[in-house]
Amino acid sequence: MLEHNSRNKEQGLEELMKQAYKPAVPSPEFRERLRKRLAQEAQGQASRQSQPVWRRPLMLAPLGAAALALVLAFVLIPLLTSPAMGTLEIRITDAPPDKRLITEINVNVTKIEVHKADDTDSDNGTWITVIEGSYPFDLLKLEGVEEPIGSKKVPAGKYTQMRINVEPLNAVVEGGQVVVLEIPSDSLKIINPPIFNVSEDGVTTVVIDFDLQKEGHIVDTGDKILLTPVIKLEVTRED
Amino acid sequence: MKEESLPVPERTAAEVDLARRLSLGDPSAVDELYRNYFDRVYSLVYYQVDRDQAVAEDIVQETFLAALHSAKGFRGKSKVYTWLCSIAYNKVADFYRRQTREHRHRNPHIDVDAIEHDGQAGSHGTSSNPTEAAENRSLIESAMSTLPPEYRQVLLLKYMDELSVIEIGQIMRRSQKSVEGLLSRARKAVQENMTRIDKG
Repeated sequence: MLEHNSRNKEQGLEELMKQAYKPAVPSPEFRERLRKRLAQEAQGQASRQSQPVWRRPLMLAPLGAAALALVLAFVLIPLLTSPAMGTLEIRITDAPPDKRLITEINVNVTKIEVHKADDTDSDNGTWITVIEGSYPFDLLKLEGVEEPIGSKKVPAGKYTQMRINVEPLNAVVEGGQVVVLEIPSDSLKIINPPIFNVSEDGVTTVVIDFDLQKEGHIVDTGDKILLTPVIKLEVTRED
Repeated sequence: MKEESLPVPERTAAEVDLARRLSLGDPSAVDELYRNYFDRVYSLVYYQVDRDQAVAEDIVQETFLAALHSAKGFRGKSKVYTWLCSIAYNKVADFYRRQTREHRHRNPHIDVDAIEHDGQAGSHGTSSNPTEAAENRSLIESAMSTLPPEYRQVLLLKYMDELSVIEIGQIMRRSQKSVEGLLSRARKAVQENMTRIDKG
């Protein structure tokens, strides 16, 4: 009797849920945007796979490509107490600005740090410098696809934040004129950084997305370009 | 916790072929993936994030991009849709983790495995009366919206998407027994919520 009641309740719940949760309809704009993005990504991935490895680094990537992206990979300082290691891969991408007057925005990533949470308290942890040096790239060539340039072993564990130091190099406008580029802060803001895990023997890929789409992210004053990108992190692989 | 090995649900020849082409990086397979699964994944995510269209769009986009980037590693141990759902599930879980962290003082973390429900759930049958049916829909939507995310997810996977316990286990990385337990607790919780809302 009890089992019978329980079955009836489950059937009732199932019926109610089917009535309430009909297939949702996505907006046509989103449907089209995602379709295009995936096609672009798939094409970019296929063309990269057809190239020999030595042609893939950023400095040698073909300039005619519709988009270009970086993946910066690094080694975290091995933790004495954490022998388990996994792979953390970082990629960089961006969406193009609406105005096409500016043809190049050249910046230099000088430092990337990640925050590894304590195993027992995720609010505490350690900032670890994972990349330091000179990684110049043109933000406008990072449209929609990512170009892995390497990956290295890092300690397994939970990572909760990332800091990226970027210095401006220059901008180029139509006609080839080089103008001064300024970034108000050399440590860029990251919106809602996702928590990501690096598993032992696993691979985690983090894409750094420079959003230049919104009004005010690129301001052309005539004698210089002011750049205030918002950076989003996307964990595209975690296994 | 060690993951128990689960039987592989039967896959069609088309699915096997799609998984193979995805693992080879075939761009036409990505298009097929999008055409075959976009609507289902969108629906699932949309309801999992409580009908927040902007959040659903972000998560669905992240899901398909992640699938594209990890397609080479897809070993075909599950159905393609189950694989996509597991990526989406992780993205939704990330979203709720971020929300919990941001609003910890207002929404303390709930360990759904630790929740016990002692009360008896009420009975809410279906109705052919349009007004009553609309009320029932509203009732279950309200009851679902206040559930812990994992309860909502398991109920949607089971009753909206009609996936098997094995498939849900692959998506949520839980054993069959664990999924059954989670489902049972989620059913009780939603029925209790419905009773509470109905009485209130």
